[in-house]
Amino acid sequence: MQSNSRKADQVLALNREIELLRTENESLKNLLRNNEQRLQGIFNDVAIGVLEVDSNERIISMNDRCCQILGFTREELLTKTIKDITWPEDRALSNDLNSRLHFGEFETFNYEKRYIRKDGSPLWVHVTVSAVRNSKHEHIASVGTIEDISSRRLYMDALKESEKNLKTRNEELTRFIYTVSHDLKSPLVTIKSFINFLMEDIQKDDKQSQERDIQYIHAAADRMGKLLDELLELSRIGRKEKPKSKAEMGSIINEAIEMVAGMIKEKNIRVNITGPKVMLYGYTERLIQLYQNLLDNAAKFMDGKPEQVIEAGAFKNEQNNEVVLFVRDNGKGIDPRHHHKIFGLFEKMDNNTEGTGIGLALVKRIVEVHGGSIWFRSEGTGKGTTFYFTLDGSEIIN
Amino acid sequence: MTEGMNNGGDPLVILFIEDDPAHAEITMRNFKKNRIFNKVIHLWDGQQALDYLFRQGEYEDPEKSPVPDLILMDLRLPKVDGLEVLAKIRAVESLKNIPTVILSTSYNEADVAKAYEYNVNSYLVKPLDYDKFSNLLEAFGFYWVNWNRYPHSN
Repeated sequence: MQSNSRKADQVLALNREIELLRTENESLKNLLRNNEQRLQGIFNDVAIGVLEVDSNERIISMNDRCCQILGFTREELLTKTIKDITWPEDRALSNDLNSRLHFGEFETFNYEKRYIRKDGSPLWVHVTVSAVRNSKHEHIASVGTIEDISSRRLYMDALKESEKNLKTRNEELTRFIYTVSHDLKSPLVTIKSFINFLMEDIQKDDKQSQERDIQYIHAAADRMGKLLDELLELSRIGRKEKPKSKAEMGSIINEAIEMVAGMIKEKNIRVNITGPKVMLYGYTERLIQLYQNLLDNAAKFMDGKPEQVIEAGAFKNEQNNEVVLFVRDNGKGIDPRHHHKIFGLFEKMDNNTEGTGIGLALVKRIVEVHGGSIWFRSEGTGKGTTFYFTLDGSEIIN
Repeated sequence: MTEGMNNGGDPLVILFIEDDPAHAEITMRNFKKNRIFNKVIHLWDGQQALDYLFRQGEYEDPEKSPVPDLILMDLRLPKVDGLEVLAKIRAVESLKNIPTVILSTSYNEADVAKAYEYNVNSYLVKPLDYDKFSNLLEAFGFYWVNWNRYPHSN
């Protein structure tokens, strides 16, 4: 009996223990479920994308953030490989690193690369990839964490761009100062030397040479004055201007034609305004000056053929939708060997033409303060020249 | 050996490239005063200099356009500048040994470095003061015409 009652006690105790364990198990399960849910929540809501791929780089799982970053749905991503979503130029590097991970050279690596978003655009990311290996140390999967760094990249690119611009500006300035000092010194050397020649010729009582000496001194002093005036003019472009306004290209060109009317009439040159109507936006006086200098330049380099024509117009560059303005002549053209000197300050292509060589430097500066760029094309000597340029805010209106 | 001759016994031929007519006259007047020049050929820009040296167009005839014994050249020239001319002649076997002197209006370190990179033989800067300019041209004449010895010309 005694033993029976003892057994019953034992069973009871066992039952209580089982009950206790069951409750404990239940609460552990709850905890686990809870933790799992929290983890899933964290996994999906973290600011970092997580992507798991198998050893063949096929995507096998990812969090919501990863889908957001790449713009693909979960289902779409599950059909893709790492190669599919990697920007072509970055595929070689991605391949190399992943295969070294696969063969156990390292367990983790991180680098910056570009993915292709669903819309086809590149996206800069910072990726950390870690290997998952089985007990035999075989590579079975990789887990990557992905951080969107496109805004940082954007700033970096902008910074690089502005650094490059600053460098160019600085080089331009250095060249400018050198040119100015050189070109202003040159007439001074002339003046000082010919004053000495003049004194010698006075002593020798050589009237004819005296006159020549004085002519050289005059010419050099005039040249200095002209250079100084033109430098001042160049430095004023874009500073203390009247506010920018809209003006129609044709009327601007007509005003410019007025200012070079003398040479155009004398050389019997025809000026045609062609193409669509264009509304320009900028400093009106400067735009007239721009066309005036281009017309003047074109007229200066005519070669005397019976039909001398300057054509000014515009067209739309279909590739970037930019309005391109142009001034074309059928004159002497530019020898390709001299192309790089065309816009240089005080560079003259021909010693026998008038002027100091500031015209096209002025043109370039005006285009630049209007946020545009200028270039030209000439098939060579005798084939004419076309100057092309853009100005911010110009629109074709018909 | 007679002064002002090259080693072939012919008078020196000096190619002088200067675009500024006033500076050309200053230089020539000084050369005349010092009676140092046998044959100076004056050209006006870098393109003309290249055409001459490479016997293009009007310079085809070697009798009328002999290879110079010495080149005296401004740096800032229309069309093709002095450094480009220098680079081009240094790249050609038949011209690369011609002694070449730069006579520049202003001093610019980058230009000087470039010129020596292209093996310029001497780099001179025009002084502002006339007496100094005159002295420089006189010294130039003495050195390059009276004292310097040249290889046989072709």
